[in-house]
Amino acid sequence: MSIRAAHLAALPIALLFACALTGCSGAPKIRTPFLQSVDLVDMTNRMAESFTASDVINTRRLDDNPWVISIYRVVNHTNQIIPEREKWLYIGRLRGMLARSNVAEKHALVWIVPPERWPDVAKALNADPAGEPFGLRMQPTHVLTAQFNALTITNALNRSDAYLCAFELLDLETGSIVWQDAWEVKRAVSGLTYD
Amino acid sequence: MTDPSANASNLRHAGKVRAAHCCTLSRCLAVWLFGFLGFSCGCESAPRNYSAIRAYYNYDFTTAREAVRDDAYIQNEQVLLNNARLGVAALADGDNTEAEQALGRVFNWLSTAGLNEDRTTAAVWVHEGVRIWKGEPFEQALLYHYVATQYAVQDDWENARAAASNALFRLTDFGGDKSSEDLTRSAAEDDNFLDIEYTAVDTNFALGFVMQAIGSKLSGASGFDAQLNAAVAINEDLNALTDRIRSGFDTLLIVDYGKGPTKIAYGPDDALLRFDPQERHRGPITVNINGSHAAKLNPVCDIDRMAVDHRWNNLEDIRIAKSVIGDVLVVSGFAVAAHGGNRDSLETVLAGLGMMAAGALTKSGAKGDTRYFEFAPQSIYIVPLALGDVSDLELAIQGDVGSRVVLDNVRPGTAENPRTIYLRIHGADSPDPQWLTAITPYYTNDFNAPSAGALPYIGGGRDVSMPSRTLLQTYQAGGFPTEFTPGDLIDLYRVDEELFLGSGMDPANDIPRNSSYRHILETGRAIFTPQPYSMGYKRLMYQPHDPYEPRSERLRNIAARLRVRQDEP
Repeated sequence: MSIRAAHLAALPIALLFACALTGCSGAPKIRTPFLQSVDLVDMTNRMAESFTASDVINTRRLDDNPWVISIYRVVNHTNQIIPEREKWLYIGRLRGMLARSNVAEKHALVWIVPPERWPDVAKALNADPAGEPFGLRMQPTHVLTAQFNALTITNALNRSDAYLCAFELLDLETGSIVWQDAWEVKRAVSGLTYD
Repeated sequence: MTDPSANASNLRHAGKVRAAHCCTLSRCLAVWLFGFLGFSCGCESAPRNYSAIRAYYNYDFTTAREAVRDDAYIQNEQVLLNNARLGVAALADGDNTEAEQALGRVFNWLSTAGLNEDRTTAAVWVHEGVRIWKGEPFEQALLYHYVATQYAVQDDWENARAAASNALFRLTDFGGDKSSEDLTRSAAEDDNFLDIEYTAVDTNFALGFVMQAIGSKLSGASGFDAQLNAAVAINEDLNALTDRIRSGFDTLLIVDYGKGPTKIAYGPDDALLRFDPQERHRGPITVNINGSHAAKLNPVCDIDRMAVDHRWNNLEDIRIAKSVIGDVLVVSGFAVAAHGGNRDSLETVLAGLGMMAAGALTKSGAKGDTRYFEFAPQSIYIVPLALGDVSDLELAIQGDVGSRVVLDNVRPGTAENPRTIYLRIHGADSPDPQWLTAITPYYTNDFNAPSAGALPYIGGGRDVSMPSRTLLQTYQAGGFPTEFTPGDLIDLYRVDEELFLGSGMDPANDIPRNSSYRHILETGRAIFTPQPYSMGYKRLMYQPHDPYEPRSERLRNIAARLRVRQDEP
């Protein structure tokens, strides 16, 4: 049998195997330009560094009137779905990073659970929702929050999302922003977008 | 000089060898053909899930979900389609948790670029059905809309806006009112036609702009006016709707009506595909508030029309191309194999078989992929209402008496946080159960709280609220054992055949179990309150169900005691 004939005969066999391997089985892989868990970690680490290094925090002394800081979830203005729990997670992790350091003690900061979040937190902690945690009735003086924006460009073959995630600490009495910083990233994926 | 007897012997031997060759070739041919047939048949489009479709169009969304739930967890080519079915049925059934989970998966896969990157070759050679179903572009836009709707009913307009924005992708326009056959003909005449002759145009998905605009306004994002203007620029009929949105509303109805178009394969080798309408009736939606006419609005989206617009379809070209190549290769393959077989040439026969198999492969690949999203409606309506106070709503699609739905005691939201109600209304081919227009609920629940003296359904009463301290006091006013604590009440549910508090709250394992999603009113094992005013809520609460049959001795005794008390004068 000549090599040419063998090749001709082998072609469909190879195709059958290739099709069997790639065609009729296998899970679809999710490949999106959306924010991932690594972004959450990197973003909140950097924001925690920025917060602790900021002048407005470093100039505060132990005996200053405490800032009672509540948190509010991320406001999502991107084109990505961010479930409610994740919106709180971004701010919650930042708060957790700051609470773990001694920045709160050194600079007279008090972190409180927002009253509207207490039923959820109590549920997560297996605590009595009717009970009260420390500071629940403390009037917050500041709120830590963030707003995520994205510029999305989509065509038939590509999609890219440029994210701007801006964090800020608001003085609730004056309405002024006492600290802010932002984290940026651009993500792109190629391949048919509506095949 | 050769020995004649030896020659004869050699000839006989040669004949035996040839016969053995022929025999081997025949066996090879049989193996090839059987193997190929088995393979090509095995890779055809997945059969339609008729039990799910039947249940869905009978308003039995819970059974429809059960019919697709297991499939939705299998990671195969149908996973996106099955999750779309599951999510949209859960949305209609008022199960926000399952709707969010399933439609969340749909959103991620729809947003994945190159989902079928490794499968294009297989699709050309084997069957379009080996590709992961992503739907035609109009189906993708619809699914993004359902993700948006699912968040809207949960008052999460940030995510609703985000999802709606994704539905506004650009379209491929070849100009004029072209059918798929026109495009295929043009593609056959010019190889480059499909690559260079189109224009990328802005979407005409007005529904997406309307949902995006409402989401922008309610979530504080920019673009509200421009997005409404874009919707009106697409369809001037929407002026009345956009005026209502601009003037403010406290209640928003998102209504799906009728059966969407079905996907048909036709033409040579069933290579061509088209969408055919299934719903005979179409018309505006009318809404009465407390008996008075309040609104009459045209649909924002006509899915029948989208489905036949070439800008919202794709892939017709490759199907007909595959069909033509397949025919040519099959014919020439048979000729070569027959020629080689006659001449006893193993090489020629194998080469011919190779060509035949290749040809047959592409021929099987020519069959169009008839998978489609069967739960799509024919029309979608958006109805903003300014109720101001608790009101009775009556709505119907004009001209279809069976489409009448009554929602009693609708509590409005606010201008900043309107109550959003999603309703799935079927067309003339579906039944119109009595509960659609019922105005008195049979059962109390977490939304429609019981009054003092009410008793739990599992104890012979009509309340299906989640157990709590306050609820126990309500029951005890009706004779429920006073020694019970809230914990005892919860235990009562857990002990009795492991009833679940919450939909889908099966703690036993990770395998989804249908009974944990089915309400105890409908012979399931879960107790929960579906999204108020949803079709699932109406179906459960506005018709009588069989009394609960206690499984445990303890509950049977309590039910008997309560019965005695109820029978006392």
